[in-house]
Amino acid sequence: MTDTTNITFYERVEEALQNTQARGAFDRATKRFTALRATAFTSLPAAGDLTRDRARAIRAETLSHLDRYLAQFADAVATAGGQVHWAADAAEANRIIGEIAQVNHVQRVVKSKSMVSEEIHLNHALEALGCEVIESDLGEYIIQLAGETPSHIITPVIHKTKEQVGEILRDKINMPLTHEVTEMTAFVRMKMREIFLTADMGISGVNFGVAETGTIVTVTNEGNGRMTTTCPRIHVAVMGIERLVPTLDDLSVMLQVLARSATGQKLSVYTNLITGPRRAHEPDGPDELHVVLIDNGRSKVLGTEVAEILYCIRCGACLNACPVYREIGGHAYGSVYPGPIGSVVTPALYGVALWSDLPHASSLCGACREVCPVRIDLPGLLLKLRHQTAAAGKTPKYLQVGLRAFRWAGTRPALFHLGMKFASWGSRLIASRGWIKRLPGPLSHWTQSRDFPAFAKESFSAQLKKRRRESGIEGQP
Amino acid sequence: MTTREETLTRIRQALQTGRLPVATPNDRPATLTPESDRAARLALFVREAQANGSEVFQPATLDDVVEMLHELMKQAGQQAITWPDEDLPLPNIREILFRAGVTRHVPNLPTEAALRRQTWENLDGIRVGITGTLAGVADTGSIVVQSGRHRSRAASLLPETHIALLPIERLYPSLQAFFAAHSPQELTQNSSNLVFITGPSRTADIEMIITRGVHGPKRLCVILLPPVGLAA
Repeated sequence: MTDTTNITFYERVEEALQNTQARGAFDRATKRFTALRATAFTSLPAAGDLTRDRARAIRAETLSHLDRYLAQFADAVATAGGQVHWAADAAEANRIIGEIAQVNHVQRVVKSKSMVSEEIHLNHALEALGCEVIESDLGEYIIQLAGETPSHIITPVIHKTKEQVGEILRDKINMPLTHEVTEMTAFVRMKMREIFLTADMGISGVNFGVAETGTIVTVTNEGNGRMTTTCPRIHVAVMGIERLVPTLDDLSVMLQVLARSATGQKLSVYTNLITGPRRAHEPDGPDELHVVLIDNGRSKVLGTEVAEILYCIRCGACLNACPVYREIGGHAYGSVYPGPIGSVVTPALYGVALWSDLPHASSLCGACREVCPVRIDLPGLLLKLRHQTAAAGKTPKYLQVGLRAFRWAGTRPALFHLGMKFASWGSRLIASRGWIKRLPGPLSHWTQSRDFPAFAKESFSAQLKKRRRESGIEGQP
Repeated sequence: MTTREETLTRIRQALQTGRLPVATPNDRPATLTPESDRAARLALFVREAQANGSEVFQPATLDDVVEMLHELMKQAGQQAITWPDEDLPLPNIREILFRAGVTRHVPNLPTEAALRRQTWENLDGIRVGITGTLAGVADTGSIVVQSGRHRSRAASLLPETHIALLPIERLYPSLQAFFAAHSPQELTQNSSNLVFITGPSRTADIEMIITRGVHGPKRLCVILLPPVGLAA
């Protein structure tokens, strides 16, 4: 989970802002997703408001009785013939999955997209045991070939152009160079088909677990989720302990908001419900199903004032809506979970001390809360974490000094007005056509990536006084 | 203590202090999609299925079905992975497939690793899959496919073209209506896989350009069967 480099958040942001091509891609993709999402919700009664209320209520109910639903789910998985494993942290999860691989002499592992497996660095753990691990989601596969990390929860390779993808496929799997996306897709289909049919183990994530039946649900558009959970002899499903819903009926509510929020589809192409391994009378499917329930900090978060973040269903809508994410993309956050959700989840799981910058990576505009399918109060949670960073003495130095100076001047009206006059006069002196390209001294950071507007000639309070005088209303405002 | 007990204990302790708000308490009934009559439901299904890239056929006679299958098979070779007769919802399916020139494969995967691999590789070359359906969902244009005795997952997954037979009376207005009409037991007890298929396999991972047939079928052909049965 933790970023292994020592680069600070602000340095990563600087780097991200230099990459104009990726910025353009983030901007286009996120705006398009946002528009598709809005259209998709119009087909629900009250534009989906009722369904989102219901989805939130289901998540609140689940988390409020998580102990009960988790026990019920685990028992139901076992009744259906699956094996349940409990992992307190990443190391235990990796050890469990590694043992399953070794006991079964697994050489080749095929994976369909799973955030939690990235959180625990599962691929590295299995590779260290000598397994070959291949990601099967097209975007994840390209990312894996390039040796990079995903930049978006739903479309991990959104930061690359098709020309760059063509070059990666040529260099890594000898595909003749092409800029045609259909040709790339066809080539990867052929390549990946052989991998699916020869893999010894398939590892999938879990979008939802259904407590009443022990069903696990994986949602994909490409079909890699179905291939991963059907072809290999062993299926290992990894899931965070919070990913439950009580019943199949509840599931149907969550499904109505998940795909709409993620990609603007009414339902993803393959909404795949798996209950236990292949039955004796069934012609295909895996002979063994292992469900690995991973805590890794979640039970700790559940006891805090930001527990609400566990309602999240990982749709990615808040990333697309966020004006900060749109500019800097996923890598700058330095965490597996980017965007507004990541800015809460990452410090909540791993401590504000290590991730004190992320709660500040937001303008608190509230766009994320507007689109959240389970109405998580993301700005409210970010503020709570900011309080925690301040309490831990983690407020950046420049903010501490700046705010202290502002408080000092702001409580001295005469001085404040004089300061405003100087600022107004000075700013207009260095501005050209009302905009300042470079602010002086420590303020120059602000203008590194954007312009600053010159102050108005007259301050608001001066204008107000003047208007009142002219209209004959006297006295203090 | 086992990890299970430890985890559940940690959760119980956390629930004493955690803040888990519901902003808008909501006890409204779960059915949120308006009911519709059969004709409207059919029209909605056809529209939504076509919008998600499925091809929808509404044959009038048995001969239409034969001709259509014949046409589809001609493009894709004569081999097909199919479900057994009793799971394909047409009374004289054996004869229909025979007349359409279909060579059928009803797979059964061995558990032994090498044999299993060999069987997969044999099935992989087959370009058509023919299945029945448990249901259709009108407001999403989805078909519901359930695995079971001789009902392979492979038939709806491996080939480039998936042909699904859907009797019109199995259409439900919404996902919730579908779940309300089926008990959890009948959906999960004797079957390891229930899949809602909403169009052909697709991706938009590269520059958000939509491309079909990444890992699953490139074409999904839904054949709607009228409740009165087809004329001979």
